[in-house]
Amino acid sequence: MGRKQTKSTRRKLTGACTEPDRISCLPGHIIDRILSHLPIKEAVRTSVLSSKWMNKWYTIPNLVFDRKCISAIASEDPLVFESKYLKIVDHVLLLHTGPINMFKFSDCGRDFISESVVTDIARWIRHLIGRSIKELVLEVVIEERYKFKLPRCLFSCQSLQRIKLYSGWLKPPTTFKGFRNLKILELYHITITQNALENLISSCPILEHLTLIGLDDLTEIKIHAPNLKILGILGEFVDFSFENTFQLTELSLLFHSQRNQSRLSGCSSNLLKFSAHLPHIQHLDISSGFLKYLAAGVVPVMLPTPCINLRFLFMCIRFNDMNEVLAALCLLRSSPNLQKLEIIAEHGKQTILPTPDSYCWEEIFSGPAVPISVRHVNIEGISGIKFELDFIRFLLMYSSVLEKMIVKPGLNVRPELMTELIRFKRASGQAEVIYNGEDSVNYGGEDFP
Amino acid sequence: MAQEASSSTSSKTISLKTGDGEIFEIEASAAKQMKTVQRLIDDLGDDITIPLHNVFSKELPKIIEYYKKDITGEITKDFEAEFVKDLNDDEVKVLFLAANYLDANKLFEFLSQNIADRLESKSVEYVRKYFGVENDFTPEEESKLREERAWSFRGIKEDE
Repeated sequence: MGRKQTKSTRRKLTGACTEPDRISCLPGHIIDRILSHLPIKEAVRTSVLSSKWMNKWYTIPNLVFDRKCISAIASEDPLVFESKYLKIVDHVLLLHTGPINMFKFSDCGRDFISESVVTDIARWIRHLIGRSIKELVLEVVIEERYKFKLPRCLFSCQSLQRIKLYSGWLKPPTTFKGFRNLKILELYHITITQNALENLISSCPILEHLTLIGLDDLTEIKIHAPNLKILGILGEFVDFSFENTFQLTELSLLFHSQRNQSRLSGCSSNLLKFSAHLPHIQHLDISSGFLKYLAAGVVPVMLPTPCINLRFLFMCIRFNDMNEVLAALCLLRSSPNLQKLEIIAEHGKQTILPTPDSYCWEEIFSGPAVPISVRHVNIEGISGIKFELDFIRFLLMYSSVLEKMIVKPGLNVRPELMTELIRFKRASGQAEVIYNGEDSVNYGGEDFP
Repeated sequence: MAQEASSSTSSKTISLKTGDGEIFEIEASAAKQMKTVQRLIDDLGDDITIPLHNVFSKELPKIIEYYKKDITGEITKDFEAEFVKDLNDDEVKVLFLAANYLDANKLFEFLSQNIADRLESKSVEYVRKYFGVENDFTPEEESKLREERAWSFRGIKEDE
């Protein structure tokens, strides 16, 4: 055939074919595997390879429409771009046959301005339901004024295992019985009532992963999900409660601020109530808004049941609020197996409690019952106020296996901060304290006797 | 050397013989990841040299390298990027076919992704050569198809 053969192909094989036809002679599943990894644009192009290849891509399991797909049309006028992009999806859906495992449509960071996107998406969803869709990912931000309502038929689709939505109105019909197979639910800026959301969550028996971002109309939510392992809530403060969420291993509660502090009861601490629900927690992210909520009530020095599985802790702390510091310390003392600690020092615009000029170190920073096991610590944004320094002093004093602490100051940092930090006593002989100031200099533990 | 026929301990090694007669050793736990090899071990026993007719001395060491890393749980994105960095498209294809023959799933998946990545933005002619596909379209049929799917052809550099 006059085709140049490379060294690696000059081999006698005991297979049915010789190179370079090896691949096309092999069972379809090999070609299917490669096709399934191709971006949609490339997969569609394979139609042109030969008549045998014309419809090989028609059965690929995943349809992903994202940046790679639009690279050629991206530079056009927005309305032209949108119209072409929507037509591409229609074209693919028309030709594709068989079940669809995942459908992902991304707006690639561009705002969709034409109203037709709403009707198109609704039509696609109806079509996908007929194809046993398992993962529905719509990363599209649709303008509020279009009131994009997810079609009712969505709620009867029992093949769904994952739903991710960037915008829209979710209004499950009264006949909605839940998604039997849903494992992952990610809702960003969705409009939904508290009742509807609570019902949705509790009616998905195998839900493992729940992300709620920017659902700012909600003020309260009860989460009943016995199999939930991962939960993330980000946005305005929400008064939430767990019911039966004992499997949680990863929890992120990143509230911007806290609106109502209606839970300020004098006796029992929110911290206690909170930690009772999390026996298996391994990874915890807390914003200062939530830390303040936890600090309401009397903050215990240590939790009665330690978080023995906690390995990773991230906290945003407003260090001029003594309550937040106390809550943070309580968590640290109650996490005997913590490996990694990350802290961002926040400086709220409003002055909360004035930092007491003098306080008893022992009272606030009393040592933990067992040494802190953390190995890596990252602290960012500190400016050098007393609580910050004492906190770092506390960490260095009681972390007997600390390997590395990286301190990155914020703006307006006191210049003496670095020298003060270095002087703190360290329980761990191998601890390296790295100060990432403007001129990043490392002060290793070995340099200082 | 009396060998036990029971399940191997982690330090046991298996001998593999390539189609061109060279012998390589791998750990039994790595061999488990290659289902074809494991099946041969189950049939023939683990103390004889397992013959692999369709795999050759050029590619087997690379495969062994991958699974050595796998059994220690150290396979990272960086390792995988390094692993294929110096391989040309044909070498990856040969490895891929070997992984298929050995029923080595993890490597197979990784390489199928890598091949897909390499074929992105390659011309139609290149992909035809790569898969060994003969174009049986008439020029008219082909240009009609290209027109219908014009959006998928933008931004591709075609071969001269």
